[in-house]
Amino acid sequence: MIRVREKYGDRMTALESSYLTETLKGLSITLRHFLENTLTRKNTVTLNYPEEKKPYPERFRGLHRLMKRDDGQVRCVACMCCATVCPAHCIKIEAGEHDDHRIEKFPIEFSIDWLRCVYCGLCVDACPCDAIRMDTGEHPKPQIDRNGFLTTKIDLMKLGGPSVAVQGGVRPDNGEG
Amino acid sequence: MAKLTINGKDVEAAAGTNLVEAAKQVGVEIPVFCYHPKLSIAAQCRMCLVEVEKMPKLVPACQTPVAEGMVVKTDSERVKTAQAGVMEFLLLNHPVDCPICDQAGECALQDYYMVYDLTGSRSTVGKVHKPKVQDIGGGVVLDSERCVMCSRCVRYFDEITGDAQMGFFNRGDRVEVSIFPDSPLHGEYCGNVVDLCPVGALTWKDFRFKCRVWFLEKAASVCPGCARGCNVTVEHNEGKVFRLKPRDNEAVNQCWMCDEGRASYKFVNEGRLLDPVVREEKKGVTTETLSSQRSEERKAYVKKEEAKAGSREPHTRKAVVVTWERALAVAAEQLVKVVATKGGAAIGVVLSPQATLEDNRAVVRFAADHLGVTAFYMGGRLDGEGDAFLRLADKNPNRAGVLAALEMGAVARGLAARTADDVVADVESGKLSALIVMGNNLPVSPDARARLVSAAARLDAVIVMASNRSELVDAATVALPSATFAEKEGTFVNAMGMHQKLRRGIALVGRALPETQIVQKLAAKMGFDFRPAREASAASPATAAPGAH
Repeated sequence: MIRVREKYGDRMTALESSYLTETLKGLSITLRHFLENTLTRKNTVTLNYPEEKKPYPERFRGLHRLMKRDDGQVRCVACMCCATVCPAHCIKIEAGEHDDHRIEKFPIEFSIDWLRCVYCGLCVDACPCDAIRMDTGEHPKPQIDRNGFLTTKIDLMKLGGPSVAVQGGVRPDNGEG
Repeated sequence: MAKLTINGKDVEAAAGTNLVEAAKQVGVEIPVFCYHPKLSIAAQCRMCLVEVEKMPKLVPACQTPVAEGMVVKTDSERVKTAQAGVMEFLLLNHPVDCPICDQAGECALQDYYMVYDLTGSRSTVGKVHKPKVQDIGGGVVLDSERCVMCSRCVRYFDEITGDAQMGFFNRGDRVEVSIFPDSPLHGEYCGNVVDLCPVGALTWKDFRFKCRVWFLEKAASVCPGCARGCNVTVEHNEGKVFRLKPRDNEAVNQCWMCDEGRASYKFVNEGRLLDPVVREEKKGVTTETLSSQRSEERKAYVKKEEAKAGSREPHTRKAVVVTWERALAVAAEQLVKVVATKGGAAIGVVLSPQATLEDNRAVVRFAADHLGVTAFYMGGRLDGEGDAFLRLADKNPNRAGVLAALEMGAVARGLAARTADDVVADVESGKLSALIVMGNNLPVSPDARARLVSAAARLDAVIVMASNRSELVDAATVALPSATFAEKEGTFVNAMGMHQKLRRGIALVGRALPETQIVQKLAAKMGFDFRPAREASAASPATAAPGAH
């Protein structure tokens, strides 16, 4: 059995209604936190950004990058799989004919609008040749206008590096294929 | 007629029908690579193998005619094993370079793999490699690795065009389909092999890498290239037309199309007149202020025009981009002035066999009923080459439609369309003091065109409804942007008198409008109670063939 006692109103005692002791109590709490946070920083929740940075979660993807072939050319073959799967329609690719017949197709332009991007990573899953990755762990830097977030192939490649995946399968290097 | 059952469904098919077609009647799809209804039967891909009761082995459905009491199974275990086996063989040396293959998305190999195969390769030896990216002429690019040796292209050149331009070379897994040495594809019908090719071995150079096919939206339309009126599908994406593909119509083009027709969409994307332009009187030499025309191409064009201007009378009118409201007000004002001072007989109307029946009819009715125009001329494009297959010398898709429009609106009044050469003569002789032109240009010699353009500068009004920029548009007092065939609904009447519907593909480019709407707005501006005929198609002679869309 639970015993319930009804209470009507919160009547203050005479001491409470003078407010003096209560005000001092409140100020002492403020002072205690102030001293604690300035002297020990044991319970602070804020960070001294940018000197201090909170580590991102392990699975944070970050900005995209375009991977390179061994000779430094872009791995992307402009298959448009990423642009097709992209739910935000933020990838624009213009395909062109490569002089090297073994490469055949490559992106003349490859741009991602980082403001439109929802960082879902579907483009990475869709890519058949490990050309696009989202593993930089960086977020876009602030820009002064929207166009600054429209990132071109060159900039995406600057973030990229070589990939160990075999491009387009194994082919004989006899100029035939 | 023979009665048979396919997968337990009763089918009744005419004697001689093959099993692939008979199965289609009851919605059973038999996969095929080499079979094509318009080509001879090769039965060499073996993809269409089906089981027929009382026959010891599986039979190719494409080569087996229906017979009374036949019991066909297309989904038995034996058939499925055979289909998977054929797919395994076809994919044995296939490069699987779908990411860079234009056919991806409309490829028989891809589609059939998902239905009939869906397993990995068991091969442990490397693939046989063959030459890729071979420009074999005729606007066709050949990739030998992707070929499944169906021989459709070989049979097409043997049987349809009759000039046997392709063949098989080498044997076994080294076999390649190709052209003969030093004999690139030629002729006017090479593009059809690209449509015939079930895989990505033959791709169309003009479309190559321009757009993935799954982005394309399709609109049933009619080719604007010539008076044949081949049924086509306008394939477009984001306001741009990427290609025309033939659409089946036994009565017109069967399933073929000429290469010229395939390229006839280009004016929809390039060199468009995007805004209404008014040329204001006597404000010095031509100044290009067209906001939408600042491209390099345009600058070069203007420079060339200015250089040319030295040899003829310089323009004394300045082009200004204006709102529709303003352009129509100027056009109305100019026309009212001409009608008031010189009468409707001083106005010449050039109709366009590039525009639809409805557009021409609206212009004829507006001009004849409200302006009192008596002089109608036939515009369009100059005649070109024709042949015995599809191409006609008349490069206008709707000449018969213009005549039909005139018949309804003007012939009743004893008027007939005269040729474009008459326009030049009548303008030079001073018979006409105003022109209303539909279309970008007149089908006259370059010399006559130059004379017309210089004479036009002296006219009171030159109102041009054009989709693309041209000398004539530059000489107009008011240039009104009109919609191309890809942007509007309407009817083309082909040389055989068949009324064929166009369906709208892309949205209107720039601020263009269909001519019917332009005329309607212009009439409203002039205070006429004018409604373009809604009963247009119903009232026209019923000559549409049953197959026409």
